[in-house]
Amino acid sequence: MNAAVDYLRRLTVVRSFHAYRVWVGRAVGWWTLVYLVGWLVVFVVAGLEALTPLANPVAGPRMVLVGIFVLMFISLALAGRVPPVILDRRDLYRLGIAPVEPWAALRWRFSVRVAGAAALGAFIGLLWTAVTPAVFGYGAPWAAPALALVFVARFTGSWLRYASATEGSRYAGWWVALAGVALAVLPYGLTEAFLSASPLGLLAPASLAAMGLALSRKSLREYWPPRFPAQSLVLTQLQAMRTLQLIAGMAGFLRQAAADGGERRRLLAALHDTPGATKPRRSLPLVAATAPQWRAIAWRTATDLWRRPLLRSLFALVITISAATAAVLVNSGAEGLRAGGVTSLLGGALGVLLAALLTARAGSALLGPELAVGALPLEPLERTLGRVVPGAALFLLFGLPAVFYFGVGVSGLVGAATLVLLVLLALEKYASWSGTGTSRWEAQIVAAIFAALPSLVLAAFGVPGWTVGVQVGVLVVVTLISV
Amino acid sequence: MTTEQLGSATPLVVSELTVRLAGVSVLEDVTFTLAPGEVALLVGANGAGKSTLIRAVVGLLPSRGDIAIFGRPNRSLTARSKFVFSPDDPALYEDLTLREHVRFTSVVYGRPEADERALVWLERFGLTARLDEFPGTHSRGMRQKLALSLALGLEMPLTILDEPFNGLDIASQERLAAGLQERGKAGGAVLLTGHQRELETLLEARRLDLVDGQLQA
Repeated sequence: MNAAVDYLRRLTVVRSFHAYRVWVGRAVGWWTLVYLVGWLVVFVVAGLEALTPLANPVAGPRMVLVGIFVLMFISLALAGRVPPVILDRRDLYRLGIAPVEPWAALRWRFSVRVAGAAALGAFIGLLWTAVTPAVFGYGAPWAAPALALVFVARFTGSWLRYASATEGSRYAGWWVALAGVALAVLPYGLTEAFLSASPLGLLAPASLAAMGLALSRKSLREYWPPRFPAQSLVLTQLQAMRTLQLIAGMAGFLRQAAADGGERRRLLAALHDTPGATKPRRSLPLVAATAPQWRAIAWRTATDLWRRPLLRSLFALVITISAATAAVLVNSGAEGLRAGGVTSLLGGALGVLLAALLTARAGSALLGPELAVGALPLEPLERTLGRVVPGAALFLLFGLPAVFYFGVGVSGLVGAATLVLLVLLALEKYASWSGTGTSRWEAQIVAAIFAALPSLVLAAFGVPGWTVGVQVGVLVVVTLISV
Repeated sequence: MTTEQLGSATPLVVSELTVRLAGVSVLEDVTFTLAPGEVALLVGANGAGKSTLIRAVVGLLPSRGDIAIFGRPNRSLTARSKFVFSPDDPALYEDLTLREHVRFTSVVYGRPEADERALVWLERFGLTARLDEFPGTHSRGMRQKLALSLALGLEMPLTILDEPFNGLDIASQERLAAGLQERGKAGGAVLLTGHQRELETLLEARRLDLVDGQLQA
């Protein structure tokens, strides 16, 4: 049966390489690539030639290298929650449950990842080889293969840590980690190839990589790791979602590119078996059945904020406080801000633009999930209100300390409030109209420029005193725009 | 006959509807009406254009021709407040639990009484114990049941369902068929698609045959 897997891989890999070759030829053009690679070679050679040996070479950084390698292998203790290599859905259903050795099914993808790790290691190693004569005063010609082998060993270690629940592989990950740490510390170990020109420096990395590969193969002789099929499926879905969003974004279908709702969060929760995947950990009281539409949407937005993981909530809190303070500050008319020099920028129109940008960034975290009106009997204004109100309330709450601290008057307060509301409204409306999603920089920059426009234009015409009044007028107009 | 002539009492008037997607004609001059209390089953082979027709009717696809819902253009707010649509792939909010879906939908449609009715439908479909769960972890059939409960609980004058029987167990199919029949008797119009042979025995409905994008007489 294993021969059938090899046959399948030969067919599919050859076909996918062919398809890729055709696609690159059509989409980019091979001569374009040759041209770009030619210039890259020129730049690299020029860069290397520009390296001049130091008059007093630096001593070989043995302890730094030891530290890096020790950390690299000690960090394996943290690995093991998700598989570093997966089968896609099709392979899982066709090969994962077929009577074939798991290693035969996974070998191709495992080899691709090993080759990727080796290529990265070799690239970094080549850089090391290139700079050592100039910086350290000695040659390290074996650094590239040595680092490639170390990276391969590290990768196999991460697989073995993941597969530790599989029969016969319980301690294999720890063995690789311990061997890695020991070889990093011992003389003539992992660091040797980076500190001398001796080919003996390859011995330790090669032994470690060989050990890792042999144990990896052994771990897949009979069984899959228990959670491997389930996690593979989830990771495949996540990859597919990312790919679709990327393609949709490239094709200009920005709504599809931005919208994943709670799906991504749900998949990640399922991947890590964290609470919240099936039932919410916390909920707000239901909105009244007789409430107006905008309140239902505001309730959904608030529920989304309330259910955020702690870290994301903290980030939103910090950025909202910063943005609210900035909005108050640029409308405070504080003496120091008008004084001149660099700080005068903060008191002027540019300061308003920066505050608006910060507000848009914070607003993107507060507007909650997207809501496509589609066939719903919903006015866009109701949607906008529902999405903006919870965030605006938080801005008000977190802006109040700054209001009292800076002693802002009514005019400044109105200016700050209209600036924040303008940013939030423009962000929500632009993101909904264009389908970009509020989390994208494009929508945030558009909203910030739009909100800061009255300040920028009126400052240019020498009538900055009109800013607040014009901002209020623009706010009314934007609210009424039906998108 | 134009949509204006048919007046505002007719739930659905489709006149000379043509849909072209990526240069390919999917629907050609489709014309039909749906009377109050009428249950219409749109049937046809795969690729005949059933889902395209439904999506054009609810205004989710660009089309040529006239589509009027109770005398109003299908994309108008007034028209949208007269119908509910459930697509073949249940469109659910992954961030809301089942119970929250029910409340959110009833408020967005401005029908507080729909809350209780949707919960009754969920009970009929055996989902009462799952009310506080996210639908993302549910099977295809369970998601379909939630989407149908939301749509049927609203009891809108016009109910449009794309492949509503897909993924449902036999008992749920029978309950759904009975519910649609009741909806018709209560005066609501129902337009649905399907291609299972059992549908014809489960449902007493006017049959609309779609063949290669054209409605057969």
